[in-house]
Amino acid sequence: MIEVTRAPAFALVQDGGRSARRSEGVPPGGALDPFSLRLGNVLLGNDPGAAAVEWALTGGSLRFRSDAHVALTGAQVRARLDGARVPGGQVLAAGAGSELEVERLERGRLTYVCVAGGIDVPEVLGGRGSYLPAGFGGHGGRLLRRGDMLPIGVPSGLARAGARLPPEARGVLPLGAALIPSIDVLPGPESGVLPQLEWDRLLGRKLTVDALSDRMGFRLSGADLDVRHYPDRRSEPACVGAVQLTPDGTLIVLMQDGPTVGGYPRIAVVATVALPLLAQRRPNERVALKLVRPAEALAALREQRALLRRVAGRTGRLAG
Amino acid sequence: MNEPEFVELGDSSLLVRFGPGGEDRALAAAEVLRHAEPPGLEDVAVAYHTLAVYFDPVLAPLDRLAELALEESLSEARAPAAPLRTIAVRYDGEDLNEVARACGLVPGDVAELHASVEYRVRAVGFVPGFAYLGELDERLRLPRRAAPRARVPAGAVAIAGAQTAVYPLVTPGGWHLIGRTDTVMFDPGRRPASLLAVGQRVRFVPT
Repeated sequence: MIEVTRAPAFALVQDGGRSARRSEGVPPGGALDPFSLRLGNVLLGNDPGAAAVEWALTGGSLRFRSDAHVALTGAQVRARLDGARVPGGQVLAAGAGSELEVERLERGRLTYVCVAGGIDVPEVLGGRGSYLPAGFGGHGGRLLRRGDMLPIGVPSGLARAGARLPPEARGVLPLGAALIPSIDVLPGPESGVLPQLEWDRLLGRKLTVDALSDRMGFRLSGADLDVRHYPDRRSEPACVGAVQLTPDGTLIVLMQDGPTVGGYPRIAVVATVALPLLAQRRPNERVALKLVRPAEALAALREQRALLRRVAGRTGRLAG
Repeated sequence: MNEPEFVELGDSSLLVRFGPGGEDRALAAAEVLRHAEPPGLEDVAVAYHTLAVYFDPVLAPLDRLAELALEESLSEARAPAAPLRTIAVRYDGEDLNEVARACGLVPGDVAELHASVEYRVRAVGFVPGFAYLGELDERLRLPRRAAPRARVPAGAVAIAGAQTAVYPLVTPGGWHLIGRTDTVMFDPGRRPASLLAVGQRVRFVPT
């Protein structure tokens, strides 16, 4: 068991997501940064999509009621285990009664607290993640609070204290604090809604991740687009990563808990490989969009998977 | 039959547009894909006359998925029979009088017209279990409310444009509320969790 002794502003249980539920209007859900979740899991010898705590933005602490192996991935964190400073991206042995404190997230929005065996909450509709709008999944279908107890699953036995992620796998975050990352996007079905001139302007602009962004959608402001010819269209099935142009010119990128149908024009779609990079941006941080070709997006995704396999190979766990 | 239009939606989903009147073909194609279980297929869903195929681009060859979506016309696969669902409604919604006024009707007419049509589920989305039903009687068609509500109660029966729906959960909403039902539209512990699926027929019964 893991006890939440001090809950951060926003933490919940997430896993690799649920599939095949969109026809019921249930979005895929799962970790907003699935790459970091999988890295943490394979480092611990877990199934790559095992459930972990998705921990956003602020500090907090957990107490382990039993011995556990744990790893923090994703955002760069300042963390202590029983008072001693511990690094992210490394397997930590947490003895029964020990306290893991995340003092703060120094860079990035989301850290994944992964534990050998995974967080063993019941599966609901094919997934272990919390879906807040309908209040199901994860721990009580809600954000974690002080006093919550999270059960730990049976570990594979492959976790070794001290095992570390290779340097090239220390998350998806750009190293320079001032760097504004480019998010790879593919042209969307309605990319033609924007004239070429507006596209050129959009790609040259720095966009701000709005504070209202959440697991359903990330709002990007500052695009300042001319939407005089806003089209009226019928809804269609939606997808994670769709960059929707709203009537007021704001862009909303659908995230893992976003609606499964939508009627806004999709001027672009974030490449699957680039979703974690966007998800890791904090409120009011900036990004730029970069148009890429499908072959480039696929090559980058293959590379990300290969990295995951290498990490899994070291722990003896085959990455799915 | 018209050839469907294939549109890539990012690198992990494909839209197959069958065009107006193509709902049943889209549903049949979805069944073909579900049963074929090609490698890398993650999900299929139909909204209006468009099928969406969700896949892992590293595992799934796109052309194979597209081929399977076309087998709808060759195979005997049929969309599952669409049973008729009835939903009991109390026509006492917050906006009922306003809707009646805007349509030049009395509230009783609004209820009668709304309950007089056999609807079909065109899409499920917005939130789990939210079914878009068409087509609403032409005399009841209004644009969405100018100011959406921050909180629409679960079970609210609402109309907007040519469609009607029941809000399955407490959510924000911009549709006109004409009634309410005790029918549970979405229950994660139930199979299926959503009462309604695309293609099903629905009738509202005044109580």
